[in-house]
Amino acid sequence: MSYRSYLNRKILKNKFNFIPLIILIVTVLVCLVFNVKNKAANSYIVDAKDNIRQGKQALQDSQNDLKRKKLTVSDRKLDLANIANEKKDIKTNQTIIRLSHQHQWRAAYQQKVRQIQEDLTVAQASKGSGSGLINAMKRDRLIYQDLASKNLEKQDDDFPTQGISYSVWASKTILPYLLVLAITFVLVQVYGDAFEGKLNKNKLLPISKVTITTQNILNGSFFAIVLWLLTELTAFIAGTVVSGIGALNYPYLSYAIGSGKMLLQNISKLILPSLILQGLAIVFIVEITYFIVTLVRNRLAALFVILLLTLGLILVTTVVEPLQRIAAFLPTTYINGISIVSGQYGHAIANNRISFVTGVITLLIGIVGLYGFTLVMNTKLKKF
Amino acid sequence: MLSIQNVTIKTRQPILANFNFEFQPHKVYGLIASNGSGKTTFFRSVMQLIPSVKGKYQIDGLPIGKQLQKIVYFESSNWFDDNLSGLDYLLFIKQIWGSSIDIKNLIQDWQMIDYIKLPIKKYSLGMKQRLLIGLYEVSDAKYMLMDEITNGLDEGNRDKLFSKIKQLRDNDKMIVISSHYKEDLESICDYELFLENNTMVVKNA
Repeated sequence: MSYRSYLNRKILKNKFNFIPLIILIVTVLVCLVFNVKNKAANSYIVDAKDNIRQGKQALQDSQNDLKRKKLTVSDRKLDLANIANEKKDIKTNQTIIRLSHQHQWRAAYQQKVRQIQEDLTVAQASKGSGSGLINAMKRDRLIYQDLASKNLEKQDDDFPTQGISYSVWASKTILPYLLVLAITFVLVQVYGDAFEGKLNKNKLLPISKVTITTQNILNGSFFAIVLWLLTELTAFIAGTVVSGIGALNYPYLSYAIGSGKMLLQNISKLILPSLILQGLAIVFIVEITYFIVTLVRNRLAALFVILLLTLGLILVTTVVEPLQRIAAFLPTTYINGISIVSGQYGHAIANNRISFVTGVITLLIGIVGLYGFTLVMNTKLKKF
Repeated sequence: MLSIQNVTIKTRQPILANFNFEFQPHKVYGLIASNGSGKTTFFRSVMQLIPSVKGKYQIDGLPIGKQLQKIVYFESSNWFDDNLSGLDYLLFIKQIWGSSIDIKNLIQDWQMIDYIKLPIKKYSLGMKQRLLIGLYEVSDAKYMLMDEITNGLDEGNRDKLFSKIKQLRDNDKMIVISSHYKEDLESICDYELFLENNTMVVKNA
């Protein structure tokens, strides 16, 4: 049995190593259930129904107002205008619902775009409207225009349920945190097993230290990538079974790198680059796990340091400003691949240097650099 | 030949000072010392698991680190990964040491057929010790350092181990075996090494 097979068996024969996989899969499935429930409560059809109900109430109020005898001419005029607007709105919303039920997405969304455009005109004319509201309207208009042109059903952006969108959502929302936790938990056990107290048992094996280091990193990376792909695959299959596969040309809200201009890109265009970034970031996390375990030689202490350097950095970068300024040079930034390639991450922390290219460069430098550093530590320093 | 040149070992207390010796193939050496006197530390130092204060260890004129194919040391059955099976370890050691020893015969010889494929966590101490002996045997290394390997063995298996050690010696192997008790090793050793008060005294058995 080769050293590689030996390492593989150490991972596969420890039942505790399957717990993170089970937790990941259960989390993905539970989140899908939540998304399905939230989708029912948040869809634009529900909004349209709410609008109809509110419109009918407003219509009745205006009609009651008209029945009052003492009305000035201008008030009467205003009431009549309101009644006409409410009737029009109700009709538009009823049309949107009807067309949506008939799966005539293009026609339904053209109505929706018109509706948003009217609201946007009013909001822009009004001094009280904040830029947040106006930007949200512009974003919605952009999305419905794109969906109308492609004749696609709208997904709830925050709670997608279709196979493609849900697996992308899971890779953005769940995996950067839970996957990192799972990888470090398992690999700290596996790598830590080479040490008995402070003694490195691997030093007894008639294999070169370069082979030992390389095999450990390769096996860890293989395991972590399989864990990641299995989770993604589960999200994709579960979403597809529940709501259908979805469309590869579904629009994904993005921001242009540099200018920060809001735009939509086909989800298909983002999947491969985001997978590349996430895959490289996973390899980096495996390397840092191996490096710290070898350095610290105590599982619990190593786990603490690794989580601080990986998960801690991933979480803190989004809130600590000095870190946001150097986020482009932190390999951990790129674990959230989809947010990076869509420009959402850079936009959120106001750092326009973060892109797919900087990600690949940073990660490759990080991976090669840390590998070299680990090799030097293992081969040149006597203690190791 | 495993040569020890001017070696001084110190942990919390001095273990050995300026020790010189040459362990020859085709010989069995018994390392005898009381608890805590540094038998295991000596083995660890030979295998470079811990640094020595000074001196060097060589096999056939080269540093031990470059001759690991020729020497085997597996400190204790506590070092096993409990989730792996005995067979996993035997296959691994056989390949890594490039040995041609027949594993099937070895398993039969040490009566491990019933449990060799089970996870080690299900083994008793005696079963683990038999596996440990099996690992030394399957490595087919020329130099073997055995640290209190008789622990946990019943009388029958201990006799078997001693007869196996004699066989290995006859096959040109060098074996250093440690124990607390001189009587344990008398029957198989060519030389006895007494470790006491920072010195190692070597006597013909």
